[in-house]
Amino acid sequence: MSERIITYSEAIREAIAQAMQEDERVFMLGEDIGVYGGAFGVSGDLYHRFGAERIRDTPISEMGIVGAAVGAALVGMKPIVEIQFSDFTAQAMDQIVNQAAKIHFMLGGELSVPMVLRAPVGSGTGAAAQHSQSLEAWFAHVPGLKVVMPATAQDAKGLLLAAIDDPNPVIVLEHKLLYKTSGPVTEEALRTPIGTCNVLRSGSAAVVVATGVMVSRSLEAADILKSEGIDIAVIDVRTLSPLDMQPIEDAVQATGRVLLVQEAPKHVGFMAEVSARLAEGVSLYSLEAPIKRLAGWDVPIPYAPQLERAVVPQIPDIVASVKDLLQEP
Amino acid sequence: MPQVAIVMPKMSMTMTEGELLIWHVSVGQVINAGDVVCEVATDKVDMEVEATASGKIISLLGNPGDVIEVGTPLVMVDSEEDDLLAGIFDAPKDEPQVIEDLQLKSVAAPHSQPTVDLATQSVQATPKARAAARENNLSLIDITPSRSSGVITHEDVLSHDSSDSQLPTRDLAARLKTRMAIARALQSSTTIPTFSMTFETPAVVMATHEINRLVVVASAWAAALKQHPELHVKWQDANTHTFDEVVIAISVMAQKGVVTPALNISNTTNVQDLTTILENAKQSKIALDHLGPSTTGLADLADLELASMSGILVAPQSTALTICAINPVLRFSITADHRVADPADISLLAKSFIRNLR
Repeated sequence: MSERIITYSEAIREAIAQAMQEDERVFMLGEDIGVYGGAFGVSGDLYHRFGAERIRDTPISEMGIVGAAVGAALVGMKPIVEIQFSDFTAQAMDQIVNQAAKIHFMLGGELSVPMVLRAPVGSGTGAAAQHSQSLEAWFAHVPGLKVVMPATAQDAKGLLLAAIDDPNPVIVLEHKLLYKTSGPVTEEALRTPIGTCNVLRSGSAAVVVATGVMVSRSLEAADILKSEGIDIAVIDVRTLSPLDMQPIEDAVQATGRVLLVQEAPKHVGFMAEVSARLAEGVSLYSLEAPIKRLAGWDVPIPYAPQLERAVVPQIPDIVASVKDLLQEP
Repeated sequence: MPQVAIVMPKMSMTMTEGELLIWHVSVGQVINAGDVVCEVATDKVDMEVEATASGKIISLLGNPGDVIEVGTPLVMVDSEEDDLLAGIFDAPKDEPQVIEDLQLKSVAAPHSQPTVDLATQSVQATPKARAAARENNLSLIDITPSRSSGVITHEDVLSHDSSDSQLPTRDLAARLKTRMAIARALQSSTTIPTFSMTFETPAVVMATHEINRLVVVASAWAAALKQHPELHVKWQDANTHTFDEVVIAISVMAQKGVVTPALNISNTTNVQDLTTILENAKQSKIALDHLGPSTTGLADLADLELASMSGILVAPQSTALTICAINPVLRFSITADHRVADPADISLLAKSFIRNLR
């Protein structure tokens, strides 16, 4: 395996290119992904490399895009849908929830929908309430959908390749703030297995479980805490559905203290599920402190930058929450 | 070196004397507490008499065939032990002194700790602490929380020394002798038909110090029994027999459990003497003449803030008083032998007791 440092965005583009080279059934469709190169520049030069047939610009209709992808998938193609902002999946929810997620089950397993839907999530770009949401819990709540949230460049590539391989619909939620971040990525088309979380750091004082951009913030918080003599473990959930609880349970049993960090609003958020799983299982008997969640406020993301920062967890918030957790009970 | 007597023990409630059957020791022999010194025939059964002291035997006071009264010395022993109870209440030698002090404090201190208020509060502990306590067969009540929140942590469970902060009532192994003695003494209590009544009255100003309070309560209780001589009786041979004197078996919590000196309380009883006797009892030191039969019982469990108490009577007692709580109300229970008293009688006795206290 050979690695080099590339951006999260480049890693995604590389995954699409390699999948297209491996399998001629793979194609991409979405708004402005052709000559324009994508709203966040992810498709870049793919249009010039693979042509208009495989990098298909579409009209501005999310329902139409996803509907076309579901249909193509049913007849044997492997479509990759790009939605410009994950907020716009609301427009396509019937196709995603009532069609893509159900067809395999309602047709007795005769047909499946090997579709990938990529969409950028999250706040921090000044794009306000309708372009900044973290809606992963919507999708994770629907049986029949797989949901992944790559937090590193390597996983941006590896999870997308695994999603393309998967015979079922997979929602890939990419964080906007991560597109320009860099990390080591294998040149080879290495798959990150869906259904495995990633223990990024080990530590004995507590474990922080995070998703999306909160993973890198948690790692930075861990560095700060380390400088103060506090060793924490950090786990990237990485695949929300199916959820790999074992490494999380192991870490909770080892440390007795857990902080769950998400950008999305706390109320009925994804980490409520992780919290419930921990409370339901034997890990409960290892807890030395109540399970703690650090999440976004239960408000639409504000436009004013100060407020936008204030309503989602930042690095100092994670540091403070870990310290609070260590004070318990 | 002091001389200590091993006396004819009272081995059953009805036993007043025993026939010496055979000696198992001889003069000059060095014995240890617990060794069998002789066999004795009682009205019921032949039994072995165990030495209550260790040391060298100076004299054997009797011959096989002699009938000897309970409490009469059988053997005189040259012993290091000046404790007439032969150290049965003493802590094991290897137990550090500091822990004994802690135990005494934990018994004597007023109950301000929320964790020991068993009736009203459950213990807060982390799930991990609970699991560890379960695994180690520890009761969370025994574990002292180190955090200011009062929540018991896993660390508290791990650092809990099972000999530390343990209430004496839980130290069963070390108290085996006491338990055996109590078991023997109470064997016939089960044949006494008792009932218990609990009374509550506005608080009476009383000493917070356990011993001082006991002295006052004992005096008021003795006076009440004298005011109701018809209740201060024993049931024997299908009739009641009046007691001439009030002898109260006062329960005092010592290191290895309850010790109960039987004290004759009369108008002339010196308060200072009584205090000294009870203070000594707390150190497990009781004079031999305070080990005789009693006419009534008294226990002050106010520190435990009991709702009520159903006491047990040790013959020839016909009544027993338990102080359950003193603040914000005075609450006490009286257990009585139904053969000598009815609930209405006990209510009158309770009224007299309250009046005497005030």
